[in-house]
Amino acid sequence: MGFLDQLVAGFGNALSGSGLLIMIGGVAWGIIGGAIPGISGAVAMALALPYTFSMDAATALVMLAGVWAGANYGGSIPAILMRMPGTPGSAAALMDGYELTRQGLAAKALGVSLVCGTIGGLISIIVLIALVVPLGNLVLAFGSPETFALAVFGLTLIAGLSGPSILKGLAAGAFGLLLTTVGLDTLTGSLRLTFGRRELLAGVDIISAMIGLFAVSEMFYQLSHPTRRDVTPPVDARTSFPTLRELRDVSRATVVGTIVGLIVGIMPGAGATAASFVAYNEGRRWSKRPELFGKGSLEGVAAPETANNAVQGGDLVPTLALGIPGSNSAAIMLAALILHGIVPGPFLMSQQSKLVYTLFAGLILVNLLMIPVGIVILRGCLLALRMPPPNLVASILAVIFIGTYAADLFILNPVLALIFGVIGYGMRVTGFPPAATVLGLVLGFLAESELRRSLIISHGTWAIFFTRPISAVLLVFTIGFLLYPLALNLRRMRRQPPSPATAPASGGSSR
Amino acid sequence: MKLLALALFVLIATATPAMTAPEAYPTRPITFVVGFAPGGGADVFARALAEGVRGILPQPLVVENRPGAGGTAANAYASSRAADGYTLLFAHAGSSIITPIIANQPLLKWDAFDTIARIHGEEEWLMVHPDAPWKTMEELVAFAKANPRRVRVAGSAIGGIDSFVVLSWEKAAGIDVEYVPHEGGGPAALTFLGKNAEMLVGNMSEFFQHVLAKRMVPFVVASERRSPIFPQVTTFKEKGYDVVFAQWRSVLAPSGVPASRIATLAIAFQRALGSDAWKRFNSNAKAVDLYLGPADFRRFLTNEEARLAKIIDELGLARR
Repeated sequence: MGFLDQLVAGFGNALSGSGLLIMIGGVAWGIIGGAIPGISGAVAMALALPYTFSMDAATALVMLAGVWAGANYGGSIPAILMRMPGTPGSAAALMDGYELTRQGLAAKALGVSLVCGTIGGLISIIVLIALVVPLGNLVLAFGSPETFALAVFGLTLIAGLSGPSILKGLAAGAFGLLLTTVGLDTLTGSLRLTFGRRELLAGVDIISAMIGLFAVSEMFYQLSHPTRRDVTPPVDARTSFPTLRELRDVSRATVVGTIVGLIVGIMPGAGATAASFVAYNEGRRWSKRPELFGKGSLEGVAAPETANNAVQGGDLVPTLALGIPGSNSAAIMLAALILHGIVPGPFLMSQQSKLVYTLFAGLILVNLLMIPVGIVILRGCLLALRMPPPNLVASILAVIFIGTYAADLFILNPVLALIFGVIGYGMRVTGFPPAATVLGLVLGFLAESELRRSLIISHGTWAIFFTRPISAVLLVFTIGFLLYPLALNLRRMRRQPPSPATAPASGGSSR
Repeated sequence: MKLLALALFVLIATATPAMTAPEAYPTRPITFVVGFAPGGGADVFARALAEGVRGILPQPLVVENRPGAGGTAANAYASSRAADGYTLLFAHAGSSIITPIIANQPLLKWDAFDTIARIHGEEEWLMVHPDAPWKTMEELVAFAKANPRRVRVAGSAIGGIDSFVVLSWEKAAGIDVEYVPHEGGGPAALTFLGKNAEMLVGNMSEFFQHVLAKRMVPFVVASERRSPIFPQVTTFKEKGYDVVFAQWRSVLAPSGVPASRIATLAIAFQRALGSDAWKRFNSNAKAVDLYLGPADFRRFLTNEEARLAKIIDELGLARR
């Protein structure tokens, strides 16, 4: 059967029986699970996994794919409305998303997140379907040096998040990096910064810390400044979709987000969270209005939200082509396969082509289903916002504690959320950007472990980062982008007579 | 007074049957706590075992993931539960022996728990590239001796069984290779396939398909006897190196479970190994049944701990 015939057959297969209902159910659960802070896409999928045992393998995979796609969007709902990342991948969107909510434009932000996210997801799936085998070989070219280079590339966003004081931004970022070293170290088997406490063996849970730094601190802030009605419930509780004009305005950011999401998705080790931050950084860099980022730019929502959806296609590349999962979410898809008696690996595509094409069709369908299902769930969430602020804050805190505990059933996590809430509040009040700490948390583990692994692979030579083409290109760009504003500044200062120092354009408030 | 006597009589009469009748077990689902994230090797094993035991036990086994601390977060949780046979704990060498020793947490080690059964295990293999210049162990060892730290072996984290295989081999053969640790078998395989390492150590369940696709070649296996999967591949033992390790997986329970319930569980697991679902899973995973009942398993663990503790000492991993 030709490629298109197989794909069409896949659609038929996916929609047969109660397939459509199951897909809708999967997407709905994914959005809800993603919206609960602490429950990431992978956790939502794991919770749905037992329900797949009674289904056949193809339906199981399609349902899980729906949960995955739904969670990618669902996380942005609390992120935009309440500065609370529902999933780690939506943390980058909250910087501009919440600003938009404060300006009464929550519906636009959520609409952009939904539409652009769907576009990103669909494009990445199409790329996956068309190029899975050649991309499978490309995955192998992304080794530890390349992943380290990407992490460093992403860390330069600290400059953009620092606001007026770069020094404070660097300190906040360094704090985040330091936190990722806590726990049992994979590369040496030794314990670092655990202070003899068993609970810290696994390190600091990033999701809990992130929720604490962003959401819990925001709750404290609202409690301490009760006159500020930060969360203004939108008068019109419908998603007022972005107009075509607005969509065109964010098209550049959407393209950037898709490309970043695809590349980072294919890279094993780097996932939706890293992709969303790198996309935010790149979206700002290539935007026509970079000064708006951090103050309520729709592009600042479009870029990261597109990226974290576009990661889905990339993650499935090594999963389907090599049988090696590209992320935790993909690992659950593989587990579903194994538990249905199917062996993943390089032969999956050829031996189980009916299954694979049904999955492809299912991926397209669930990404499309996100829009109608997303709108329905969104209305429910917007209604909830009409609560009086004290009730709202209390409810949000309750949801945060339940969510952070529910993910790993580890009592330390809610406590961490609380502690980081206090830290985050202290940081905001003293001018240190919590977003920089979050960035350090997100990219720190990746940067450190891949750096050390690269040096083991290279037998100790640092040159490896520059002798390998992809890594060299990324690092050169990083250095270039860091020096470019400095060079511009020098030129500007040389042309004009010395005037009160103008800081290099960095944009973005640091709340 | 008569009323009091009557009341007492009724009370005793109704209480006695409950005390003397045999308690039914299990009457509600049993929680199987797994210290690793969903989708990983431990988790898939636990779910497959739960599937295998369905119909044999009148109540289902429900997997509960509590990842963290190298699997010991689950140990801590399980030990806090009642020893009534309704909480079980997944255990392998890393989570029940090695990590508790390294982290100096004796209360989380296997001997703080009741042993139910050892279920199955996977052999540890060393892989090379199809175009590797060494065809025999002797050639490889000679090369490694002449070029210390030149040969890179990708594997999972230091402190896991993969790393122990390589480190024991180094000691036994008197060579120095570069071990490249990763967070799991998957990332290690990627490093190897990307030609960033000359060798790969791990389980066949993750690598078999790649061997079939001719991207990996099994070089040596760390078991007592040659494996039926690839009988032409030699063992470390044949070459004179006492390197025998297996990634075994098992079930523990909080200490103090009534003996009758332990027996019920152990027998149920043994029967589950004969189920179709389990056999299919095992064969796909290229694992072998390694069933040991409660007492035998305890003996096995005592010896295993002694063996592994020595290596931990030599590596200097233990916290004081």
